[in-house]
Amino acid sequence: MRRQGLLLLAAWLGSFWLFAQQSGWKHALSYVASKNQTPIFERNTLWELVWQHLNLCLFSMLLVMIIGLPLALFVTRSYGKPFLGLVSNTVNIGQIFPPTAVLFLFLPIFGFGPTAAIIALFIYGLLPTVRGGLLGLSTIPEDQSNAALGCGMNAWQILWRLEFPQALPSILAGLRTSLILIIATATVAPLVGTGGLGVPIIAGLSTNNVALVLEGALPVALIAVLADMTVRWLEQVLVRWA
Amino acid sequence: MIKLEHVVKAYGEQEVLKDISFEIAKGELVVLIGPSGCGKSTLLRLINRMIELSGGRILIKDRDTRTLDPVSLRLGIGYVIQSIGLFSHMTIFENVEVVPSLLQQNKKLRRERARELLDMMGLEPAQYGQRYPKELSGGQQQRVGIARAIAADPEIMLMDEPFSAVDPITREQLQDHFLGLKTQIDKTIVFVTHDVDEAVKLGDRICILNQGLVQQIDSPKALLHKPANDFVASFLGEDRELKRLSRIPVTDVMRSGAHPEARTIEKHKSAKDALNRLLAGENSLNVIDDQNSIIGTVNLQDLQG
Ligand SMILES: Nc1ncnc2c1ncn2[C@@H]1O[C@H](COP(=O)(O)OP(=O)(O)OP(=O)(O)O)[C@@H](O)[C@H]1O
Ligand SMILES: [Mg+2]
Repeated sequence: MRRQGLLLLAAWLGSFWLFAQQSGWKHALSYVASKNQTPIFERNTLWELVWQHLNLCLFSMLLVMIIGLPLALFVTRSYGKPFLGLVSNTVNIGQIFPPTAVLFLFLPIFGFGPTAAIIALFIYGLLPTVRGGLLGLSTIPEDQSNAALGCGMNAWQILWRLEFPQALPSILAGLRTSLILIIATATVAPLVGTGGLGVPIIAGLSTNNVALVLEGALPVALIAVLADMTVRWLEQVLVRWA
Repeated sequence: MIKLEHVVKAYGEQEVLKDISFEIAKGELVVLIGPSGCGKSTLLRLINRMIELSGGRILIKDRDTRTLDPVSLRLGIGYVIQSIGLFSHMTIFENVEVVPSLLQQNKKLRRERARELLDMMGLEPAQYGQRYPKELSGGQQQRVGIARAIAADPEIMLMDEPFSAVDPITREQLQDHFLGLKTQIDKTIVFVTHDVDEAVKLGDRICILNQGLVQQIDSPKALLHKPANDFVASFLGEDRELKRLSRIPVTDVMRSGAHPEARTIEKHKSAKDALNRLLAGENSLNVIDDQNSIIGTVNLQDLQG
């Protein structure tokens, strides 16, 4: 487990080193670009695009956690039960719309810029986390809740000592899905005038330039895979009892 | 120590417990027994207020449980639940230390105590302490469940079929172990079981429940010798006299003197063991003590009545 952690760390560092090699990418991508086209996005370096992308993902993911987990917690308490249906339906709706539609729906409210993109990504990424939280918190084995109550835990202790650790595997699985979804979906953010790795992709698509599409798509794929592996690793480290 | 006064518990229309009154003295072990669904677990859960009374009252050390804070009430009562319910995300040590940690006892001391208890329950702490519950057999888990309930040294223990998940041989070992333990720990215990033999073996008194009422509550010997009604008689079984003899040490039925040609039986054996030997063809048996000297003699007539 420790070795896996170190390997992951090395993979992240290696990827960032790779993203910093602007001229290297230019050289490599020139093999797929056609003669009169630029092989690489000129206005921003790849390094800048990666950071813009990660920033978008980070903020929307934080929102997902800050709002999604307490929401799941609230509707699994006895006083929040009446809202259970409402919450799970509303969260579902966020995902029924395609991400571009969600983006445009929020355009009139937040205008162009990162806020609209972050809000849209948050709405789009909320479902898996809420689902995971709901699943985990509503399937605590009954004998264990009985034992917790019977040995004298108060509601708060039951939450922290039993429910939260028991729900952790589902919560982490939900967070992982949300994260991957957000990393991939953030590529449409340029439609509302925000940066990120979607910028070269959309520029490439509109000018039929494969090199530009690859410049955006390859790093997104790499980041998504590494993020997935990292959270899976975290699941193993934190949930040794399952 | 525990006093039940006209206890009633209803689920909707169904009155599970209709009118239960009895008292449990300090240091006493009372066994609750009765057919499945007669409300044994319900009665236990009323005592530690996992569920609320529909009528009557329960006093613990002369205080009405409804006036006590349920959480601190439960902290002072060891509870072994019917389905074991070990916390699957905690190690065996952590499980045993749950109540001490809720009471914020010193970490070192509570680990020491956990080792001691696991040892007492016949589980090698070094081998099992760091494992997770799923890595233990059902019987081992039950023992951890008992250790968890005793850990904070509560005065009162509620034990709901604590030996149900094991085979007959292990079960008997656990019972013997528990009897030994009982003399060391001096606790007031309410013990639920399905098993008449277990009740007879462990109980200071046995309380037979049926149809929401106490059918009879008495010492095992009295209960087996004089069942109060037909239900009790048939519930205890046709072999209840044999069960009664199993509770009586052979020294209680022997006469003084010695039979010149008889074989011997050790004094810690039961009257049932003696009967077994006598039925196998011996006329008399001489009872011997630890030094092998004869302290009395017993024959079939001595076992009657
Ligand atoms: N939460 C509940 N809601 C409705 N009925 C219940 C509830 N809990 C128990 N009962 C009913 O109360 C009766 C007594 O249940 P209890 O669990 O006390 O029986 P028991 O004597 O412990 O049985 P067993 O020997 O099978 O464990 C049963 O008929 C059961 O169906
Ligand atoms: Mg029961």
